[in-house]
Amino acid sequence: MRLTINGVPRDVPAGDHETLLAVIRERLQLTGTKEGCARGECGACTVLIDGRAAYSCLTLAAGCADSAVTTIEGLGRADALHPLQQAFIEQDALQCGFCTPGQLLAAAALIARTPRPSEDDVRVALSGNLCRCGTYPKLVRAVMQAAEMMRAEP
Amino acid sequence: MKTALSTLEMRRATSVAEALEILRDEPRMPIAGATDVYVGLNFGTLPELRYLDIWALDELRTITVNEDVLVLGALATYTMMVASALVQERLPMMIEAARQVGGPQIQNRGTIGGNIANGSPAGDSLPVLAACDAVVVLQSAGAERRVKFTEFYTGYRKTVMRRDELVVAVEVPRVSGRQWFRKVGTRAAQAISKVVVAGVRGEGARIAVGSIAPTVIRLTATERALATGSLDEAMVALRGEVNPIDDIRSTADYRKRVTENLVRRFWTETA
Amino acid sequence: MSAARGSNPVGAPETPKVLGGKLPRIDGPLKVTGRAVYTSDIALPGMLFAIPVRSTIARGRIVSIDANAARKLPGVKAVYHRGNIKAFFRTAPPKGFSGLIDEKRPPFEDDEVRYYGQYVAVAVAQTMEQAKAAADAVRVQYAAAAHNVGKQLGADKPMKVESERGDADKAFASAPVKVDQVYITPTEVHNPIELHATVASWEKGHVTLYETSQAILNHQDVLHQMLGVPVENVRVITHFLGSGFGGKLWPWTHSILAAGVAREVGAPVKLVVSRQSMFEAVGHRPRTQQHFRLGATPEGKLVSLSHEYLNQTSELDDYKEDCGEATPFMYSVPNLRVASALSRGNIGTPTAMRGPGAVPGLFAMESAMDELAIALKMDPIELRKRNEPTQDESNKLPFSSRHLLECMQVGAEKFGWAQRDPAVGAMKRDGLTIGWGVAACSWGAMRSDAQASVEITREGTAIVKTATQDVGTGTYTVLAIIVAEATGIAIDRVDVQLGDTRLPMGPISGGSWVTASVIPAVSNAARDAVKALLGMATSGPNPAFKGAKPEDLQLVDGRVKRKGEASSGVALGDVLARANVRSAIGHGKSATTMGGAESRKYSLHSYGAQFAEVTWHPQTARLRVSRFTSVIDAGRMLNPKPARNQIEGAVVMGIGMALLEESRYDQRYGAPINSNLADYMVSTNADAPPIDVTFLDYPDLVLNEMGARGVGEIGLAGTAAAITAAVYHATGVRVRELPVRIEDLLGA
Repeated sequence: MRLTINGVPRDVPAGDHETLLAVIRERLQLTGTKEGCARGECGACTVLIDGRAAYSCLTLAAGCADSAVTTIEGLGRADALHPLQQAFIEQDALQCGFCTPGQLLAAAALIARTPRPSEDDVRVALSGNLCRCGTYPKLVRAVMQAAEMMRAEP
Repeated sequence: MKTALSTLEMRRATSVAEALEILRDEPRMPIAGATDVYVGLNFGTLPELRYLDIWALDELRTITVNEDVLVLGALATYTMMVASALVQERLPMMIEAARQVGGPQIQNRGTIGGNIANGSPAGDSLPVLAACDAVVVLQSAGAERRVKFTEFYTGYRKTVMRRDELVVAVEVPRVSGRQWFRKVGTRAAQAISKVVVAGVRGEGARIAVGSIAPTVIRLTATERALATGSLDEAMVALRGEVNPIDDIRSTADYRKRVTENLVRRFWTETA
Repeated sequence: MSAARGSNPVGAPETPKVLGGKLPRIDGPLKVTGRAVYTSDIALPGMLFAIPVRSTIARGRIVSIDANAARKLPGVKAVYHRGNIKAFFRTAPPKGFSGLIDEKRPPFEDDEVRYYGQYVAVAVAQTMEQAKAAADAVRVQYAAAAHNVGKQLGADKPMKVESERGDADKAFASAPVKVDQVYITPTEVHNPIELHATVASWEKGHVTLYETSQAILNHQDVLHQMLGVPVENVRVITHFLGSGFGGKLWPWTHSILAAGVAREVGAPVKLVVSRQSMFEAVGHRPRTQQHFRLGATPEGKLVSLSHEYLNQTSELDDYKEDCGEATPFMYSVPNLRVASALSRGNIGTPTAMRGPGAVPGLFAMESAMDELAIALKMDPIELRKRNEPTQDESNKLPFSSRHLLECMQVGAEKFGWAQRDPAVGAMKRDGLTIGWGVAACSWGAMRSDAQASVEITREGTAIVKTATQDVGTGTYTVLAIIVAEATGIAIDRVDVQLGDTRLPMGPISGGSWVTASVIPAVSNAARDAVKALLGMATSGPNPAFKGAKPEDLQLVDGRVKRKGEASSGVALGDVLARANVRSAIGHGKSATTMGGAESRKYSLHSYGAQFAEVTWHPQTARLRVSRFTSVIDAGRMLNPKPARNQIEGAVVMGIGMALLEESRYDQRYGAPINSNLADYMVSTNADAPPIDVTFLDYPDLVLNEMGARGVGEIGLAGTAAAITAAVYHATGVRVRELPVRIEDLLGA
């Protein structure tokens, strides 16, 4: 099947039943997307499908053939971080880092549609992403900061 | 019998007509956003081996008004409903319900048709459909029929659907009166419902409750009592028609008490 | 973590104020870009996948295992069980932090099943899916026996006294004011979002394990013993850990299985534990049942304290939840007795979870103190003031640094405690009933043995090495800070290497000890390296500062200068180049406080005060924690930013402990029944209220030269008790069995 991941079309020899998560991690070795529960409860596997946050563990890869999929590897570059990535570092919105890619993509989906979110908007947008380290207060601050940075430099 | 994913066989439909032909020729379980089905698949609790992926059927991904009836295409997602001016205007309680389904990821992929077909007693949108006297539109190859939502379920996750049929839409006639929705769970987000109540207060009352019985139920005796008598009389009627059970998510006593509280609030807040 | 160096585009300010500053964590760029490699991300050439077969009874015997159908499935390489795999050994009794394992029975040792989900076989295949299919296809016949997964705990032996002074029973009998209650904490599961995982790879009798481990050296030692190979043949690597909260401290059976299976099949094997198995076979905080009796004078002076408790453990292992940890020294009381026993059930073996012992113990003690305050009609802070000890009364030692009352006072001011109306349900806001509660907390301060090396290179960088782990607490960053501080080398030029058993011996990531333990070792190593460098600068071949004494020189911003001189000095690299030396290497050690001089002279603990506000809406039975204030006395804060994050995160976990979390067992089958993250609820973002964290910042110089204690666990201690006190204040219902169920508050 053909998938467009982070803007790059890729032909993947995957079965029809395979999840997007399995294809991303195991066939494409894009391991920034994590598995934490395999049933749409933790959010570690969050990616963007056509700009919207989705659990890749519950999404069939074959159903994404006509869609643009963004993983954490496509959010920013090591030498040019996305404002969200910068804000996560500056606000220390992470501890162990395992849920971080999913949190970032959920936040990116929010800011793309709601450039001026309220703190409650952020809490709701990130409520599908568990962080067992409990960095929630810092996550909210980081997303608010990033939204501000992005409004300042469109 | 457990299944492993690699033993599954998936077909993909590109049009509703094709999907219906496939279903006519062989039994397959339709899947769309897969937010419920894949949980079962990953954990080997679904006996099905053959599936039909209908996510690509954009013709079902619609929200329209037709002759004063709000038509929610089966693939309308919760996110679409939340953003829809038509739903906001005609069925605001559905927006309340949709906002509280899982997190945004589930709302982006979960569909109204999936919630209906899956028939979980805890499905948050179902009391809304029951309270507004919605009609489920079922199609099979060459045929179409309409079933009242309140007659759609026959038992725990059992429906009147035949295996060759597909939920293509749900129709909501104009709702006159005030709409009201409450979901009670423990966690502030991603909560599984302990009790869900949807109500419409027009000339009389229409009240549906989820999570307290094997299927979503309408409180018909309570509705009658509210139409003709006092709130206290309605509570007596409610106690007669609500018989929840204890389970891992809550207790019968709690569900009964909270259902009473919620119906009282519905009645006083919509007065 | 070499990739972090120089690749930090956000980075620190140019001349960061290293200590006590607000540095971003140095591993941040890797973590926000998905480039931090966790164990389950490892892919090796030819790697196979293993999936264990879980027992479907909680007690009984395996009668037969039929793997024929499974072996014929596509991609399947093998199915192993007791009958066809090289046996594993047990470990010898542990010494120090070595040889520690909670579930001591090696996998497949016998045919007995002691808990639901125990591994009885393991399937190996070319893909994860194929392995899963094969594991599902293995047919196991059991002879089931009656199991016990009940909630009512019962002692398996008479209670053993842990601490005693005076006569607690007699003093209680004659006390004018009494509290006599049983408090219960449920089975809780660590549930880090990262699943436990092992990737095992053998080469010529040597095995490399990529592990999810909070204690790689212990893991190495246990695997060496259980696999029966020399210790030097076992290498364990944990570069990044998706947190553990204690659950990843000691090895679990899957790790031994992965290594054993990889040895059998002759290929690298990856085994990732499923979320469901995380509730069964990798430990949990056990259920506790704690009987507290407090006796006091009408003036609120404690005269008697009795704490008798049970914790559940498995049939095989004597895991003890040390609920009496803080009881003997927290308050001044002349008559005290702490005693405990175990209660056995057919459950997986428990293990340490964040704040083991003290967290459930303080829930009970601080709840009892709140109840006593209510019985006395006294403000709960005043009650603590009247019972503040001047020394640790259990051993008559002075406290190294104790500021509990100041925590209470500062917290009260920040929280607005003076505005509290103590009457139940008296405080309202926006149609909601408000409840306020307070609790004290403590956590032991300790230092363990550690070694480190620091290398100053010709490139002007420093490399620090120690075999500890960063579990998300910021260890990478703390080590870089210490080295930067001691060498004058900029923090972004410090390369921190940890998480590999080939490095010098480092501490376990548990007990909030890492920071306290590595400070002396790394500081000493850094100073040793500086000394070596200054030696080369002043003597030997071609010294840059010929004739100068090392003590006349200093390192500033990567250069060696004479003290008091304005000259720019000589670059570190040039000093080494002139001496024709590759690098200056220093070594350092820390000595444990356990059994050491400090522990014989001082009582070493951190303290804190927790203030919770809840809102209660009776009609819809909605209970939320709406505000939290935490004041912590944990020594000097080396890096307040991640430290604050630790406390906030612990409070969030404490909200889960108070209101949401409980692993429940199906009485019919003995299985953990809510073994997923929808039904075992942890706090979501929407559950986290504003959390106000204050550090008192009194250095504890007894513990180490920087006066720093750890902050990983203390934020969870006392949190649940503060919340249930607030729930009582709002509703009049005292919840003594966690978690608070809104069902329990119906009458309110």
